[in-house]
Amino acid sequence: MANTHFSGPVLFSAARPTLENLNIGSWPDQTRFMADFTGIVLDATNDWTVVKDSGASVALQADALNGVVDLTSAATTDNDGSSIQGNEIWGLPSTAGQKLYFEARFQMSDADQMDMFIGVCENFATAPENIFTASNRIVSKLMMEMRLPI
Amino acid sequence: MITESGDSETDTTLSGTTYDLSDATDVTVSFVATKGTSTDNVRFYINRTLVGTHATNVPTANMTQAAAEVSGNATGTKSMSIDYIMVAQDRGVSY
Repeated sequence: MANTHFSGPVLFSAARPTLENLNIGSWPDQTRFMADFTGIVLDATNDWTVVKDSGASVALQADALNGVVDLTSAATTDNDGSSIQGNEIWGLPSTAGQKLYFEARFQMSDADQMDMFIGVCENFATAPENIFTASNRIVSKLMMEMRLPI
Repeated sequence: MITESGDSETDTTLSGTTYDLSDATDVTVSFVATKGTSTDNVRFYINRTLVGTHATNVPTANMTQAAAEVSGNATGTKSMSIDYIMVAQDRGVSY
């Protein structure tokens, strides 16, 4: 089958290989979540659970193009951090051939002097570094220092 | 890249420096986990380019989308700025 000329994440399109089988628009056979962080204040009651150290913060940037959330450690403090998580609603489908998709775009202020996690995992509590020891997870950590356990 | 199921982990570090993070520079990371007929797999992407595949320790538990940062020294202020997080899955129904 020839590729389509549509460059978005449409079925069988090779233009976006990551998302080639992810449908676009409303499609009831897929569950979909998208956080663009476009609000005024992060909803830490209904949308996200924030787990952070006391001096750290989680906040939406004001008037940032496209919307951005900042997870920020307390200044001049080692092993301090913050995290966001939702509900455990994602998992590998039970039917062969079906998929779970994840994508995120982010940046780090000091990449080789920070630990980071972005992906899916079981819910964690108490301290942000507990995310690194979740029993079940799929995560991209790229090339940086990962100190386990912290 | 990490897949971990029931505390059993597969951890792959990409060779070279091509995919090292740079300070204050956006990167897009993605993965697609596929239920197999006999073996499940996860394909990892950086900036929409396939960088590796795991076929072991692919978790089947329910999980949440999540992000975290922890400072690695006591110099300055460390932050992680997230533009977006997207998650989607096939519902697992067939007709």
